[in-house]
Amino acid sequence: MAYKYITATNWGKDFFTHEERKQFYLSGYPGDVWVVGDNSDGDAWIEKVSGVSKTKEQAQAIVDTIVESAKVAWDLESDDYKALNSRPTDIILP
Amino acid sequence: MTTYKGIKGFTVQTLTSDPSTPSAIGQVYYHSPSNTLKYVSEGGAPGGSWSSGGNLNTARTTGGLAGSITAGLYFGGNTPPSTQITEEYNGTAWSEVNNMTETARDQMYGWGTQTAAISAAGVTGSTGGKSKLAEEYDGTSWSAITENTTARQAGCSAGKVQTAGIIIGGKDSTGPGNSDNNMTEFWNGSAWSELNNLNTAGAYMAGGGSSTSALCGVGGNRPAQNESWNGTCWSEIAEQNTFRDQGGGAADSNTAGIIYGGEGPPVTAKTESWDGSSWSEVADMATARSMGSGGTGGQSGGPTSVLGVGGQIAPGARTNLTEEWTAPVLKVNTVSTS
Repeated sequence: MAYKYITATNWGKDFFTHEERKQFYLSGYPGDVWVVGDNSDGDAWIEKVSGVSKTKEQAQAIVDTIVESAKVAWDLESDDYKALNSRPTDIILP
Repeated sequence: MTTYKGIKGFTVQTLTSDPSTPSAIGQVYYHSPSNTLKYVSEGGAPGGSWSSGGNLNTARTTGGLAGSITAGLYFGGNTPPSTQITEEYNGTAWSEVNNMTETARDQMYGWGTQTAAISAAGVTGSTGGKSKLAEEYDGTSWSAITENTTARQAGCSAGKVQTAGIIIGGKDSTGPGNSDNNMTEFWNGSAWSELNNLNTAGAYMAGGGSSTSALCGVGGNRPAQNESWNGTCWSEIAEQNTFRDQGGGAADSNTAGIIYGGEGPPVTAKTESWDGSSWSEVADMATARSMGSGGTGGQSGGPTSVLGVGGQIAPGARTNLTEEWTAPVLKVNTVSTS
């Protein structure tokens, strides 16, 4: 399946609808990154949410920056915190 | 010869629009605009999907949830720290209302409606102290009710009405550290009583339903011991397809429910529906999350209508995002001769 990569802020209700979820692949990631199925319905949704186009590499870099920051923050936490919360893991965009 | 009229009491009708009410299930009709013969069957989770709902005013994990996708109530949780914040949902937006009155806590048990809900037990995140405090919400404010028997957190709950709900399992303080709990306690509107225990103690489970027919203990820290409740005792049921804990859950009964999100790890967006005999994968959430609503509270709307509220998204941030699950009550099918 082919994808497009964008950033867009989820404003809440009707940011994506049931109908849209059935028309194209959609998955959200840290940094307001969205992976969108590459079809005409997906394109219409990107326009609706004023999505900013990214290459896959750019989108992955946004996610990686946030994950790495979270790892550093986790490493500085107490042992009690670490016992209850697993260390953030890498996220690989499809 | 058996005829349609003989079975249904009337001939095949000609309709200009597809039926939309459950009473039409089983009906065969001629759809004149499309010149096709159609029939109506039960819908359900396989035709469902998640859409975006209004964002919470305060991002947090592990609050309690009651109500429906058009009249929801999300209370307590962890921002961090634990909070007493309560928000009401009208199907479009969340509005902050009066706080809970007892000590701020999260991972509590909750059920009921937007105007008549219960919150029980939980943990105060800043101290780790487990609670047996209980409160009821009347649509305007919270007030204390009789405490439940055992202080605990992070189990699951079921209840459609304020005066009949159960809290199940979780983590208690009876042993060294945090011990898994197997207790079922029933609230009848005025007092708590103990019912039969889970077969296997556990915590961080998903579930929902009513006090007489529920799914609880789905997933959690005991992956092979999902159980269903018939009002008297717990029975082991089939495992879900994707193991996860700290997911959300909702059920209409012990034969109809869904689980969503959670953490394997990794945090997942996967949703599965239960039909009384097996689990099926259905449409994923748009944003994977764990520790949202339902992970520690019960919803009675599943599997056709569910709120997924707040929680924690990778790589560890609290979220204010809401997703609404809806699935059609009925499915319109076209008769094919091929």
